[in-house]
Amino acid sequence: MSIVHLEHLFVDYGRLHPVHAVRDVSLTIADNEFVGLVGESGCGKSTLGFAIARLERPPARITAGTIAVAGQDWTTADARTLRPERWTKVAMVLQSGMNALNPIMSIEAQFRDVMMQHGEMTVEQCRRRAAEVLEMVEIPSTVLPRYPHELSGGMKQRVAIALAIVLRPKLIIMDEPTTALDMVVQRQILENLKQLRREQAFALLFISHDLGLELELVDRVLVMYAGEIVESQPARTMLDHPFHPYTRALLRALPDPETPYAEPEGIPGMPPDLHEIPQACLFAPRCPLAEPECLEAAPPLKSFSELTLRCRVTEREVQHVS
Amino acid sequence: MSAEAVVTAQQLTKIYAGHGKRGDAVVAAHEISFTLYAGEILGLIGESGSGKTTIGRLLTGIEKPTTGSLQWSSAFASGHGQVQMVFQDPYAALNPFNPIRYTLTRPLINFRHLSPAEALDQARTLLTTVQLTPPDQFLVKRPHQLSGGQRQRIVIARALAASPQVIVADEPVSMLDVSIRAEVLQLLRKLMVTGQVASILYITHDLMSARSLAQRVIVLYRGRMVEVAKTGDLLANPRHPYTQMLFASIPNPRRAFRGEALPIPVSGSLAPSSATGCPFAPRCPWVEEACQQTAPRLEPLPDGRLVSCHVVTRTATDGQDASKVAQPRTTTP
Ligand SMILES: Nc1ncnc2c1ncn2[C@@H]1O[C@H](COP(=O)(O)OP(=O)(O)OP(=O)(O)O)[C@@H](O)[C@H]1O
Ligand SMILES: Nc1ncnc2c1ncn2[C@@H]1O[C@H](COP(=O)(O)OP(=O)(O)OP(=O)(O)O)[C@@H](O)[C@H]1O
Ligand SMILES: [Mg+2]
Ligand SMILES: [Mg+2]
Repeated sequence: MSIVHLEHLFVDYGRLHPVHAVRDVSLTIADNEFVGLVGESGCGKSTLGFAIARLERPPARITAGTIAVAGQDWTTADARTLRPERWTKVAMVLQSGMNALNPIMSIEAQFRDVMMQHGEMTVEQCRRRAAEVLEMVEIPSTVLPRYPHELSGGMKQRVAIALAIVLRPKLIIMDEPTTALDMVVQRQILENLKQLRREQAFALLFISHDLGLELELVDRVLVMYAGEIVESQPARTMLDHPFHPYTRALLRALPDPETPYAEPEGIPGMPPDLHEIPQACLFAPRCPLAEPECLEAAPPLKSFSELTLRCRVTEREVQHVS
Repeated sequence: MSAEAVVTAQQLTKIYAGHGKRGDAVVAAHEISFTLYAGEILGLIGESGSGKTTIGRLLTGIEKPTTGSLQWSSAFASGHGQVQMVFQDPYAALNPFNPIRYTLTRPLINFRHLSPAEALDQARTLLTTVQLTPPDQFLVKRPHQLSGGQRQRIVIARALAASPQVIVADEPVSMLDVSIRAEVLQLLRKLMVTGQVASILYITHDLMSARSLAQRVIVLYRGRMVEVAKTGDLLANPRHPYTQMLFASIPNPRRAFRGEALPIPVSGSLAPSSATGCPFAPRCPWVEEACQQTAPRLEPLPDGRLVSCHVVTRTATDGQDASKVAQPRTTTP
């Protein structure tokens, strides 16, 4: 079974001169699967994450394609239909999740707010469940009467994660939940997520620009470039056999803690202006492997068994490996 | 290392008086001593709130220490603007309404008293230095027309406008995409190599980004120096348990794929440290009786590094490695 299934999704900004921030994205997230979404700033990760949860805000608009969540069509569902599904089917944790907490409500009141909207629960039941999920992210239940400003950034972010799992959603979308935090706190959250997974079944869409983080946490990584998915692969194989030249560049930009002195490389150039998308491979101007044909026509997205790839040069290598 | 000192920090302590409901005073920096040498990039590493920015600000003179002092070598003491700071957020650091030309020429006109024509010329040179070429193309741009990495290079160019001896780069890449971090770090190194500045204090919470950049690293924990070492030594063999924790925190897919557990537990207790003991004791996997009682001092190890840890000091004298001697706590409270 799949929790999310997208077909040819387009999300645009603006009406007069719309740009496709998400372009022709098709993907499936299986039940209990951890999926990573990686790509550089502005490539459309947040836009896609919000659209899946149908939390997109104008000027963002879904203009084509379909979104199905747990077998139900969400593409055209209105707010009233979706409200009962929020927190129970899909929950979202934002980059500024720490600021997403209501500053004038105690932590306990925020848990109660979410839980009471979605079923008959006593105050005592709410408190017990809140303490239980807080414990999963290693926060003592003594924070329940406290207010967000009394907690550190890392603690607030973990409270936001606890809040997201409290109603046992089938999918959690996390948009850069650790980007604003320091390394040790990021590590704690990573370990919390691995542990949570053993205690409670859920699928995760984890958005980040740090491929190393993604590879360590998730089962499969989606690489996004200028609004398109250019590669999808299991994390285990991607680390040693990345195909798309952009995925390779992302890996080279990553310091590897196991090879002490290798210097990370940048990715020269800039992503294309979304207003002027050429009929070509969008990565070609920055690509060390680009061939004349890459500049003449957009490469098709091809599926091999566990790999999906949008590159006409490196797809020739696929047979040799698999 | 050419051992010409640029500036020496002597026992810098910064205490922020209490305010707000709780009103506890914060010891943001405690007896910080180090020398910044000419030609050196010195890394300053620690978690959020450990006092990194405070030490950077003390070095610039924006902030005065509660006790302790800075000793500038006469060759490098040029007075105003000798230390410039580059901040974490290139998005907030630039006024969105000003074109780059204005951002760069204004400090040259106001502080270095150049004529507008000279300032414009100098702005072009600065843009070339930070590798934004051709410069005229960038002079007319506004911040939103630039990528994050380009913006951070503008911020660096603006810092260079004051002809500083020292740059304090306070997490200059942590807001940037992984893909553009390398270019900004390489630029910092180039400033050093080409003699644009005498030395750089590079502040980060990411050990990996200091790896290729800094020759020496100071690890801070709650305002105190816990380990000072050559970067290579530190990475090959982190000694202080907190440095080991920092190291273990780096995302490492290969370790995960091998199914290896973290070498050190990273989740710590929330208990405040005792007033007199080691500040790291509540989170430390090796904590002993002595750690609760007295705070360790920075002691040299045979390889020349400094470590402030009772367990490391005790075991190092027998030529042992603390991590193999001490029994890690299996559970964390
Ligand atoms: N409100 C908006 N109006 C117009 N364009 C927008 C808006 N929000 C985002 N965009 C554009 O849509 C594209 C995708 O943005 P998005 O925020 O989804 O990227 P992202 O991958 O999440 O980036 P980051 O890593 O910086 O968070 C970008 O080019 C951005 O400029
Ligand atoms: N102006 C101030 N008034 C009171 N306390 C302060 C002030 N500036 C910093 N502090 C406190 O001093 C301590 C050290 O702060 P500092 O900003 O130096 O840490 P940092 O290591 O730079 O953290 P980060 O990684 O989050 O930037 C913190 O506890 C902070 O709350
Ligand atoms: Mg985003
Ligand atoms: Mg700081």
